[in-house]
Amino acid sequence: MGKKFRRKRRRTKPENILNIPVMREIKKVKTYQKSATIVLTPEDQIIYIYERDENNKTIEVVNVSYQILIDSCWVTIIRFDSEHGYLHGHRRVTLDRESEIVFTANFFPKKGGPRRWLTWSIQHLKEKYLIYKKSFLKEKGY
Amino acid sequence: MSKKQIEKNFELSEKLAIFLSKNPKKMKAIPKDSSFVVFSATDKLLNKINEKLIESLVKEGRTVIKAQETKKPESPWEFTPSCL
Repeated sequence: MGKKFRRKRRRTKPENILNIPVMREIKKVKTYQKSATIVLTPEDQIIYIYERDENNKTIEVVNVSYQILIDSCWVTIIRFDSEHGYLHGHRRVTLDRESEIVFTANFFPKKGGPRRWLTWSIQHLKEKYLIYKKSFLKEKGY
Repeated sequence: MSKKQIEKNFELSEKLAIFLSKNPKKMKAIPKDSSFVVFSATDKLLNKINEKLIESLVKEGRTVIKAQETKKPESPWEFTPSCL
């Protein structure tokens, strides 16, 4: 008599028989926001907020805004963000209305990313804040 | 988008800002919280980029006004509300 072998049954998973979609665990990426203020003059400041992942990589420019002090209130004149996946700016038209002009400011379409956008927008506001301030206040007679 | 086009975009938004602040009557007809997107009279590429911007802003639920630059000196801008 030959040696008896126990036949191994192939067990198929129930989800494969019934074709049930398997819920896989989605890896949650921990992100955190960082913010800072650059004081240009006692009446001008740049505030920036950006998001970083756990590897310390900048993943989003939340807000880079240039603010001026009018009647002891900080008013944002221009701000940049990358909410739609590319950098764009929002420029306030007048003091009494919340309307703004939105424009694309995507400098580095291929090489760039949030890190370069953040650097560029801070640098841009540092260089041109007086131009924005002048044009905003000119019509107001300040 | 090249550096020149970014500069153009800035110049165009500057033009519109000056026009709107000088013509408050035009602003009265437009909702207070609206977002203007500028369109050049000559630069087609810039307009194409800004068209995409309009799409994303409308999806976000904002009131978007398309500001088209014209070559007419009596009415340099035309405003039309945008929706998907």
